[in-house]
Amino acid sequence: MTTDLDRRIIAGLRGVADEPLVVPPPAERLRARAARSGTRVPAAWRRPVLAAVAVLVLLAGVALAPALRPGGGSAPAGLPDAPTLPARFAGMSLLTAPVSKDPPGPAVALYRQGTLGTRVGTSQVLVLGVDGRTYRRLDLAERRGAEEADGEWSAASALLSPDGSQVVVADDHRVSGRVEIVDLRTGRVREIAFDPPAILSPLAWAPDGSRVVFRLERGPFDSRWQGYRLAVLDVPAGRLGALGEYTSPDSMLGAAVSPDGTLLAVSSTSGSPTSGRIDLLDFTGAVRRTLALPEGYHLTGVNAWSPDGRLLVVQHLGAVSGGFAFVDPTGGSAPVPAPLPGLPHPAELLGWSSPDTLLVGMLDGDYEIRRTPVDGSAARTVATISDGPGGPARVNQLRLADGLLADLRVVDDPGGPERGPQPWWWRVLVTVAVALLGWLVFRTVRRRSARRRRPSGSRPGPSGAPNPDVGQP
Amino acid sequence: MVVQTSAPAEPTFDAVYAAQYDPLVRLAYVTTGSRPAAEDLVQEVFVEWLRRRDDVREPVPYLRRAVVSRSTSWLRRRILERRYGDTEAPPPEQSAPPDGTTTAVRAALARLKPRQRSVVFLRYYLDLPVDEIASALGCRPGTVKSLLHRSLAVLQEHLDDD
Repeated sequence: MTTDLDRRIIAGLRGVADEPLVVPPPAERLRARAARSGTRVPAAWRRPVLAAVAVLVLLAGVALAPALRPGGGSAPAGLPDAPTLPARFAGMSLLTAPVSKDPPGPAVALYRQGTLGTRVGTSQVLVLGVDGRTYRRLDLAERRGAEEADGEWSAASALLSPDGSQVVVADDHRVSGRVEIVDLRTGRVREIAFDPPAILSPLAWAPDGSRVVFRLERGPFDSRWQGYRLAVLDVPAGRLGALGEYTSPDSMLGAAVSPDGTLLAVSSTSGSPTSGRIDLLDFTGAVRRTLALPEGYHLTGVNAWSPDGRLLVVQHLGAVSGGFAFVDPTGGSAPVPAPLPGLPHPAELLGWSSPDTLLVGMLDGDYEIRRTPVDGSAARTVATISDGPGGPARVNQLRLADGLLADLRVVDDPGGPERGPQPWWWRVLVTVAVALLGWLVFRTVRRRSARRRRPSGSRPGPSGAPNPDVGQP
Repeated sequence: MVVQTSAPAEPTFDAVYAAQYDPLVRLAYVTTGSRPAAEDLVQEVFVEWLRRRDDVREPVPYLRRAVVSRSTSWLRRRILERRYGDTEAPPPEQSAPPDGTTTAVRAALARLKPRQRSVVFLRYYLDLPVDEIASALGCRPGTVKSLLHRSLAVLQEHLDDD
């Protein structure tokens, strides 16, 4: 029913709408414009097909990218001019590939990261390649770990060889009859069996990589000897044997092999927590010399010998926290540098970058690597490793490849972290996410297409007409 | 005015063009207030339809919806351009001295939003049922009724003052 208001609206609207004189241009002109404006828009069915193809290409890219990446799946073809440390280590990541999947080549550093001891990657053993940007998880050490008394998972002990090409892994949680050596260039693991089984902890590599010294602990039901003994692994021969009859009643805090590879310095407390000594042994197990240490000092670092063999670094583990001192390994009266002042935070010796400069690791919030001159002049932080917000990625037990320290350079930006192929679960996650996204796009396009095709008279409403803006320039 | 909205066979371009060009230009003109813009928009829509003929089964609803969509887009651009001072707003076109009702409707249209103007045109000029208007605008019939209701209130206000 038309009301008066309707009639007035219609009349007024005609007055407005009929104002312009409308003359259609020839239809041929529009056809010519359509022909000039390019190719025809693809039919609606092509859009979902193209979307599906795009998703498939993306999926293929996700699946194949790691394999196609240069260096992926094998050791890097070439090494950098000099072993490199990044000024800032990359953060801990669950996406870092294991050495067994993608070996990194020689490494400059080996360290543990993560304070939450689980087996799902919150506590990792990592190696950093000599390029300063290739990170890999030393999965063998993580697998060989054990649950500690506090219920947290702890990885097995691992020690990096001086040239950074190998890591020796030994399970120091339980009695075992094997040690393993991981070749970081190939990822291959060499297993060396020994008998009788014992608990082994790696203490030091010989500078030429031919020997590894272990602390040997009797098993809980083994009474063949009391205390701790030393064992030496002949790496080329793959033989492990006790180092003479040398026995220590304490846990032997540290050991270091002399630069010429002939002597082994072993720290022992002789049963006294305050008075320490260093026994210098040859590789028959004979004690050649014994050095008395200042009160409270002990040999702790594997890289304690100076490159020229003139000094041994010892560290105060008591009141002078982090304080380093020097002793003459010859037992003579050669002058040695004065002890370095105590440090405000826990510190550990990482090695010598030159005959007069130490590299010291210190936990000052983040983990810092400091060049520390032996003459007592100011130390300088050269590299840091963030422990992340709240400290879940705290670093400990960092070891540097001793034989690479002389040429070590620190680079502000060695390039983004290279973490190797992404883990399978991550690829599955990404694939599912991409597939979901593709399905949403497909569904949207299909709905639009269906809306466009639906006859307007049969079901009017929001889906009654196609979207004219699709394909609009 | 009788407008063909569907055909048993697929309509030819020439037939649809001949029947729809005029009302579509007037729809665009009422929505935008600009005759040149209205003609440009409608010609663009026909050109686009020529390029997409495989996709378009029901050309008339498609064309109406395209005209409304492009008209509102054109107005949005004009508003932005005016906001940044690039162009002046086009004056309303008047070919002859309007009567009182036309003036009142024109003033009411000026107060309506573009989609409301389109709804008023489709309802009162083309005499389309609500369902077809909804189809042309790509919205629910309820939305059309709501748009019409608010538009009528404004129109009535101006016509009552006439």
